[in-house]
Amino acid sequence: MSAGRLLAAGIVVVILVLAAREHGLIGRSERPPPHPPTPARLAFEAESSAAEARAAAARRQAEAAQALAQAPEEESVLAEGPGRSETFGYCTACHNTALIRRSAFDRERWDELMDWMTEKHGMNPLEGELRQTIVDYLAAHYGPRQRGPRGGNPFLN
Amino acid sequence: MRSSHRTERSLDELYRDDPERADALVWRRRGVLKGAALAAMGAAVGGAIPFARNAPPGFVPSALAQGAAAQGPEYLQMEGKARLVLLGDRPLNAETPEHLLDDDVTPAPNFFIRNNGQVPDAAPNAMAWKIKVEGEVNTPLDLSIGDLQQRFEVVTRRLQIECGGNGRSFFVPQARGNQWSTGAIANSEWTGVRLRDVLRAAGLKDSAKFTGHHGSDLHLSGNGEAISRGMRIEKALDEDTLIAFRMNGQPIPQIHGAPARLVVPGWPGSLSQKWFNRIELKAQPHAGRGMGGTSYRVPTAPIVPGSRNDGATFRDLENMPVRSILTNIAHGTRLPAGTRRIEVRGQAWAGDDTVRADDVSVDFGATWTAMTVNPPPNSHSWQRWRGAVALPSDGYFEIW
Ligand code: HEC
Repeated sequence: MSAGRLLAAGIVVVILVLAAREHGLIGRSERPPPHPPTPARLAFEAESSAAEARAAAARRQAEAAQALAQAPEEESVLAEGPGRSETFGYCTACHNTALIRRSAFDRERWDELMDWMTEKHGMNPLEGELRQTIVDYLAAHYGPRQRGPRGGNPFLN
Repeated sequence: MRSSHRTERSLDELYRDDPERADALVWRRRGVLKGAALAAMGAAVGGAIPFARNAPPGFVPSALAQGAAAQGPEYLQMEGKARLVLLGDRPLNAETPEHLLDDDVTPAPNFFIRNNGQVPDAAPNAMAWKIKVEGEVNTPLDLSIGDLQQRFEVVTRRLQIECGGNGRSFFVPQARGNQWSTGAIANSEWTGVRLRDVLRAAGLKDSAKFTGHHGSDLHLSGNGEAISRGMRIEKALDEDTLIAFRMNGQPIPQIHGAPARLVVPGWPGSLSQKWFNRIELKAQPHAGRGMGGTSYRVPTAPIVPGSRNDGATFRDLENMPVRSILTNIAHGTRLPAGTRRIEVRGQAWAGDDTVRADDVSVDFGATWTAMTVNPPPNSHSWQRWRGAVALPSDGYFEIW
């Protein structure tokens, strides 16, 4: 083997060794071991992940409430009778029918409520025949009860 | 199992559908329960009624009233919330059964839910949430929660928040609004800064006589604010009126107004603005949504129940009335046969005032037993009462 060849082979070996080190194939053990996390860092990480968990819980709660609000309702939850579809159509834009179904008012109170919804809550004014139909429906099916859950009112009657 | 099963169903149904006729059937003319009618009523409530002679005429036993709703209560199912009684989901309102109010400090899951509008999205960065102070002040402020914590003393208090309509379902004729029984109350531990410290930093002008509160929740229609109420400046300067950012040591849950809300204890809950972001100081009473008319207001002179009224002679509801609840025995509890003495306990509160005495009756109000009432741990906290009552026999009893 000539001296020239030997030199070339030596250069190739050096290049290979350097390339291997460059790519971390040999000589790894020379790197310093990673620091163990300090208590402060552990506390910070725990607090950050707790904060993230809380933020996620807050998002989920908002989404759950919004999903409840979007739960579809069928017209048939309202009592059957003439005026039901008009009432369902006009009255569920803002809230669902729970507010209606829990109510027990005479016709005058229902009529008054239509103005309240317009004046205080921006409902399109309800006039004419449609108002008549809806108020009649409400008074017929969600009219006053004679008694509350625990009896009557001794000051009335 | 009981031979009277059929009677029970039918009387129960009758009460639901036609309480008038049920009463006529069950109650004799002078309203004294006896003979077959007493037996029928006993069957309906599931046991003899030892103190029936004391019951007021026309009175509907609680056991029947509980089932009076057309198809029983619906319950809320939501992560982080207990099984509250759902009053409606748009807007979302839910109340706490009394037996879930047994803790001295109400845990977040048991806190009742009242919304006037839509529940807003969670704020991405709580510390950066800004609160404005403006109107009749020398220096309007615009402070983040971080600023508030740095500039003002941070205090922690147990404070009641009670809906102005708590107990409304017992009114006859029915009053408008959510039909709460007695579960629109909570007494959690709130951490925040005193509103008065913040107002003083802004420099109140002599003309600052009223407040107006604002939050980020939208009206149900999507147009404008859900609600915006205000109060007399005296209440804003009370040491227990807080801008709170923690509830029971944790960030406030989203549904309860995160990241900051007002806590105005002892006055209607609607003043305790959720998702609170602005307060105005005013020379005249605030005119926001939820002010004026008949809402959150009471007559200054007696009116005929259920009569038409535009609220012109009403005044704002302020100091909430006295109330007491039983928290260790749920409605409909069956005790072992032979029980002659029961421990009872609950919570009592009275708006800005302190409760001095609490009495319990198991004979429809004929006789009363005094309970012990603890002093509140701080002003505007509810108070624990406890004691024991004797039962003369087995049977159906109501704890009043
Ligand atoms: C533009 C929106 C809107 C429309 C449309 C609307 N409402 Fe309302 N309604 C409201 C708001 C807001 C409230 C108050 C909700 C709350 O505070 O919990 C309300 C409350 C009610 C209540 C409870 C009353 C009270 O004092 O709390 C009843 C009953 C009711 N609405 C019936 C109806 C009926 C019937 C219709 C159809 C004729 C209707 N609403 C249409 C916005 C609307």
